[in-house]
Amino acid sequence: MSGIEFTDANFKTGVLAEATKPVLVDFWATWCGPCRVQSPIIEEIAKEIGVAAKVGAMDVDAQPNTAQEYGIMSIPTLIIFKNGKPVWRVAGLQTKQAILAELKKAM
Amino acid sequence: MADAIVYDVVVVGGGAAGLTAGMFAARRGYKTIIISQDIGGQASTTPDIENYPGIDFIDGADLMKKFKAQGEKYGAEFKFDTVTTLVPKEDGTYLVKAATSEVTTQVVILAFGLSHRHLNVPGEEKLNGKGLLYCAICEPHFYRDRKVIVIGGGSSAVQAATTLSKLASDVTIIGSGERLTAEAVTVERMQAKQNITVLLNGETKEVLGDTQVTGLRVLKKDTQETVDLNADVVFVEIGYMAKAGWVKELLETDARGQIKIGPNCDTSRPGIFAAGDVTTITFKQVVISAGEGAKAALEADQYLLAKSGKRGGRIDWGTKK
Repeated sequence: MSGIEFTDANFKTGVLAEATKPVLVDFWATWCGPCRVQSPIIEEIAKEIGVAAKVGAMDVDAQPNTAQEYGIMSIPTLIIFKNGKPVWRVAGLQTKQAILAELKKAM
Repeated sequence: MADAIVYDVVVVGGGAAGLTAGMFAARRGYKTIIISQDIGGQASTTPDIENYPGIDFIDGADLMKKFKAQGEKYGAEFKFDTVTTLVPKEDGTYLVKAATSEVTTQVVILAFGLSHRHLNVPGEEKLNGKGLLYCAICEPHFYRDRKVIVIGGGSSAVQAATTLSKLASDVTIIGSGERLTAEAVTVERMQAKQNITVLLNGETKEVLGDTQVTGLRVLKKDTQETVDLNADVVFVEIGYMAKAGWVKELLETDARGQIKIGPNCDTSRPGIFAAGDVTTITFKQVVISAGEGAKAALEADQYLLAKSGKRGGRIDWGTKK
């Protein structure tokens, strides 16, 4: 994964404590087919958006606590956090333009 | 919008057919771009591919990334976008409009594959991703002790029901016909499970729920009785279809909405070619789509050569070393 690798350990400081820009988190797992399709799209967004937003992914198998806390039932699930709160959430494969539009709204 | 960039070849779709078409076109020296919502399409969601010649075993997403990289090596560009419209121009070129960009091109190769078939009932759009899902086998371990409905009577639906029954509290599978159409062995495997209920002759009328799925309204066609079934999760496994409606005005399609092609991937319109699962070819396989993509690009080459007054030769001997 390019972008940031979020973990249960760094979620509080890396996502919730971020006070200036939106944070996009892609909840995924290695065995999930659609996640494998979503990942390269998230990677390109991470590259393109630069420092304007934080973009990263979280493996729900390796990091189960956060996924459980947010009630992630199906993956991929994308959540945009702003000031520590989820402002957009969607399950299922998303297009690049749909994600970018939501990220820009949250900026 | 500024003047659209001009390409020789625009490939719509980035699965096995589209990526291969892009690679072949770029190798012929054409300015080529592949515009797709994703890399690899259906093949990328397949964890193990064991029948691609020369490769014993590979993850589908990895194979598709190799396809893409190989095309890019020869100059094919790739862009994530959603193509929405093809506009034929007076000079014989095409304007390709996508959600965030537009380009003009001499040739279009359509290779956007198949998409999940949808129910087209109330509640479906609203609850998509909120307990209503289209990929059961992708995410079974989220359904522990939940009440699950699988809509569909084919192999993928029956396999999904069987897999889900290991974790879900109970599973109801709803087939629309008088029997399940999956292979006998698959059905037998499912019937061995205690917590699966089969409902036949069921027609889904509505997905119930406000912000999360709570159930499904089903018409029992044999008794004409409508019932509301409770569920935490509903899976739609009713197969795939070509979503070629947006090119229907321009091209001939068959009853299933697939683009009609000739033996060399030519469509009913000069300058537009089509390849892979979106077309009328019978077999939908990665190796076949790759071959079809190559054919479409080579036929596009013939078209471009003829258009520019040069003579084309159909045989591809490769380039002289």
